[in-house]
Amino acid sequence: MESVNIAERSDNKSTSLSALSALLALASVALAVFHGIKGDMSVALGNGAVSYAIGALAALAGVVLIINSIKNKKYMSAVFGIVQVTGFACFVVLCGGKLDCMATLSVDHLASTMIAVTGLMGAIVMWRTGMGITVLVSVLGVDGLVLSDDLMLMYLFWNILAVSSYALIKRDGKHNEEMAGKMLSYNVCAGLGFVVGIVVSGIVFETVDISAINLIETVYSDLVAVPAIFIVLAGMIRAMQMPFQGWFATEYLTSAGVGSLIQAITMVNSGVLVVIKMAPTMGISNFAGLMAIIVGAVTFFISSLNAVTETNVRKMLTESTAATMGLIIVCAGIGTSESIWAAIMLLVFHTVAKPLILAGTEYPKLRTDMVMAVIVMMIAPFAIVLLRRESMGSIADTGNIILIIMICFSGAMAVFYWTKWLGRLIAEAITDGIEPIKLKEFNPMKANAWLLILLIVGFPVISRYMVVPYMEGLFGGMSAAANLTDSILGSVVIALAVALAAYPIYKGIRPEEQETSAEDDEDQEHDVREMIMQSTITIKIRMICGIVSIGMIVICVGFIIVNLIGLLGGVV
Amino acid sequence: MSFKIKRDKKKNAGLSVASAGIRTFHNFRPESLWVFHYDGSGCDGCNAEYLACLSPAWDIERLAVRNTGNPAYADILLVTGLITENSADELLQIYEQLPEGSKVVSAGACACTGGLFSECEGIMAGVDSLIPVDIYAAGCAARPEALIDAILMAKDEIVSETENREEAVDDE
Amino acid sequence: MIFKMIISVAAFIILGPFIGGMMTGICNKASARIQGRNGADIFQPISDTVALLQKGRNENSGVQGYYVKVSLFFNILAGSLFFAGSDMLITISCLGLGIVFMVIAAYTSGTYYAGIGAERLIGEMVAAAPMMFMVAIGFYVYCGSFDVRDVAFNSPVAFLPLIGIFAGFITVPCSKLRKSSFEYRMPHSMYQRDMDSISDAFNKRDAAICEIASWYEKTVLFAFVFLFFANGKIWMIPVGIVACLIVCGIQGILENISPGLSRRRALKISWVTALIIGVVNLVLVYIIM
Repeated sequence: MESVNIAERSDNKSTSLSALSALLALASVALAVFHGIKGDMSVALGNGAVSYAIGALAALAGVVLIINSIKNKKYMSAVFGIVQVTGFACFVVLCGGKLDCMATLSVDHLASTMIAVTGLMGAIVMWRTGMGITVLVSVLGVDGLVLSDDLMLMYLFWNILAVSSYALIKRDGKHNEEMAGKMLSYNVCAGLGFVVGIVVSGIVFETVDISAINLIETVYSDLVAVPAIFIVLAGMIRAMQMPFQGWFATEYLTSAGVGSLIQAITMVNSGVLVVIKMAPTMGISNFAGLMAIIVGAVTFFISSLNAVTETNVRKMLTESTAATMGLIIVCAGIGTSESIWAAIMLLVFHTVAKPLILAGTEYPKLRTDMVMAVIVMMIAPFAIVLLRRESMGSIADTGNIILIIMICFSGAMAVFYWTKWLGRLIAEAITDGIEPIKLKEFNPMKANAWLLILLIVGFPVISRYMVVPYMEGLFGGMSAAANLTDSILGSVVIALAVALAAYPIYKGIRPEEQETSAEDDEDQEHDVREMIMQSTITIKIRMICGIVSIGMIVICVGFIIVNLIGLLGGVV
Repeated sequence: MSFKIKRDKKKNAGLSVASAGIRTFHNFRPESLWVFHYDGSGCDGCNAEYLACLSPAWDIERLAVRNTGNPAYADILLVTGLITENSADELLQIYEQLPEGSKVVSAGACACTGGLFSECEGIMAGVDSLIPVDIYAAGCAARPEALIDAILMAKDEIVSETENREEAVDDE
Repeated sequence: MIFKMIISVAAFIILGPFIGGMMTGICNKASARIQGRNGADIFQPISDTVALLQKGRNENSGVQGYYVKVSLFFNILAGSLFFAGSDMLITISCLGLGIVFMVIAAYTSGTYYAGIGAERLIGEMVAAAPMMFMVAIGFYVYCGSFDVRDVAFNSPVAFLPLIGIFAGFITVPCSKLRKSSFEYRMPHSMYQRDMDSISDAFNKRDAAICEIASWYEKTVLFAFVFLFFANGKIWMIPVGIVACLIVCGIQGILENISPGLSRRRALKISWVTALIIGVVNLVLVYIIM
């Protein structure tokens, strides 16, 4: 049903929409190319009045959120919102003058990579869903987030994203108002963390520049965790980590329609991008890093466990998103150059592959593209984190046994549910038959699939020219040669696997006449799943993991607050 | 001229080496016999004796005999127990899946002739009223020695049949 | 160096199935001897598979035949990468891919029982994969590198420091060594027939290829066992070979002490074993290094 509506909608405003999406794609790629030629650039938006203006805009967006919370009768989140906005406003008014920083937009390699990827995917999603302005605003929000070097500017874009996601969910239909309200309260909580981080950073370090914070890290590496932890916490909440994950993710992203496509590339990405931007400040030794690592690993583990026992495909995909985000946050939390490389590459793969799978679930018949995307999603965590000896080496070097165990076990479970689903998909293809892919029709899924192929084939190139320079900028020169050979081998393996798996479906399969058994797949008692589902051990594991993650957050944040009080006492 | 002849010789030489290799592979007669055991209803006595064949006491595995669960792989279909009218279709389905050149061995009095129950209602008097049987192993229950003898006899028949078939092919 | 690499990879590709088949035969023989019977010949699995290939000479296979061959390809790839000396993580991942494609082949064969076999195979992989990654991490922590070349030639014998990981490795991933792929089963109950195996609905040629793929995989697993004893000196080679034979014996013992063990319990036990033994060993190694 939805696909029909989408087709109608896109017919009505097709020309303006396709123009907009083409423009978005071209502009994003052009920016990336421009950056490649010109190198890192930054635009300082000026001091003084400009930062007041930014603060005012951010506060305005916050007020919009508060009003909407009150409208939706989410009084708790309204309270959070009011605390946020007043705190932020006070901070800007009282301390704005003392901060000696310029609001800057800086284009570095991370920014250009993410802008290119988000822009292209945004164009494809615009094409697919027929929603022009909302997608544009969300994409611009993410772009701004990744471009901004100033925490206040980032907070502005953060709020813009929150508003746009709220509008998106509300648009989807009446019954989604409840969902929209929940989403709003969720975002507002995250925003509170963000504001606390800004305030702390401003008061303690007298700067809100991210690059300045990263510089401070080299000198006072443990102290810098103080503001960082709150911002990282905010990012983690938005990226569906434990223990917030069950509350939010499984409800919204599974039931929503086309909105979930957009959310998959903008909302969740924004949370993770915040964490990646703060990644240089984290490490195994400080509490921000520790929290990120443990909570991320726990999320990866629990989401994979949940996904194994899921029968609803969309729920399984939501859990897998949360799991991948958990893995990315683990890599960002470790803080070494290889692990941040792994985090960025994982994010890029996820952004390109996930919308393809989500879109594919709406079609009754299987598409080759979706099979490809499933395989890529399955291999991506392995290819990027585990195939690369440096990434695995840095994980092993942390000496953190819990982390290693979590990653090993969760990786296996991730392969479990992807393989199970892949097997079922291909088996359905055998029974229903698939026509060979006609190259002439060019639709958004096809475009997405081509982008994915480009990504797989160009994996070494992207790594060498777009991500490694970012690491070199952050950590000083690093030999790129070793990375290149590894990436070639890894990308060859991925490409082979994808091509070999998708080949029969590409050629088309005639449906076989076979006696289909009356019992169909969904509710059979398959041993491992049954064991995991019915065993009380699983319930215990889930409880333990929930407690661990809550405990971790409480301990780390508490420790930091104690540190903060000590610092403030000293300062005063 | 001579160059051409040399070249042809080389080409034929290559082909004949490869074809000799393939022929050797196909002529290589590995010592391996796969048995599919189908059990109709009954007292399970012959069942137990067949399972005893697999046990350490008689151990047919040392004779390169192997139990399988898929009739399509089997060389020998071993039927024990009574075949009723209800299970006749099942047996026929299994028989159709047997590859060509397989032998059917019926073991035990009930499988051979219906045994004690041949005059009861719903019982088919012996497996050979349904499918052609090659070897009969008598006994109630058929002793493991008899079962092993029957299987080895069936194996001899298979081997001699394939040899005859290959001689016929070579003669052509 | 390149020459050596090419020779070892070629040796693996050509001799791999024979070694794998022979080791399968040795494991079966060991298990049979423990049961007190003579058991089949050492080369019996090879004879069986050749006979199957000959019987299935003129069959055509559908989509599942294709995926079985892809699985074979990835097993060969994994072994070639191992014997070319590159890092262990890629080998483990390619082995995993081999299993994944075998699972897809089983799903596409259409029968319900093959689907059960497929899920059981994934379950086995889920049980084995963490242990294999812990093996790789153990080697990394002790020998300093993930590369097979470095571990095999340039580092001390890793058996004693990693003995816990070795024990976990033998118990869990080597459960593949215990039964041939025709009977991928640990029965649900003792009295269940061997019906739900993954190669159930394959035709004869595909089942034979499935078995050959599992031989390549077994060769790689035995190569890992050998790696625990390798330090580049030539007198450790016989030690490694003897260790492989002893592992066969241990597999026989393990197979025979678990006759009534249901699949579910076996999975649980093996995971918990891997967790406890492997993790304790890893912690100790970290402390030592």
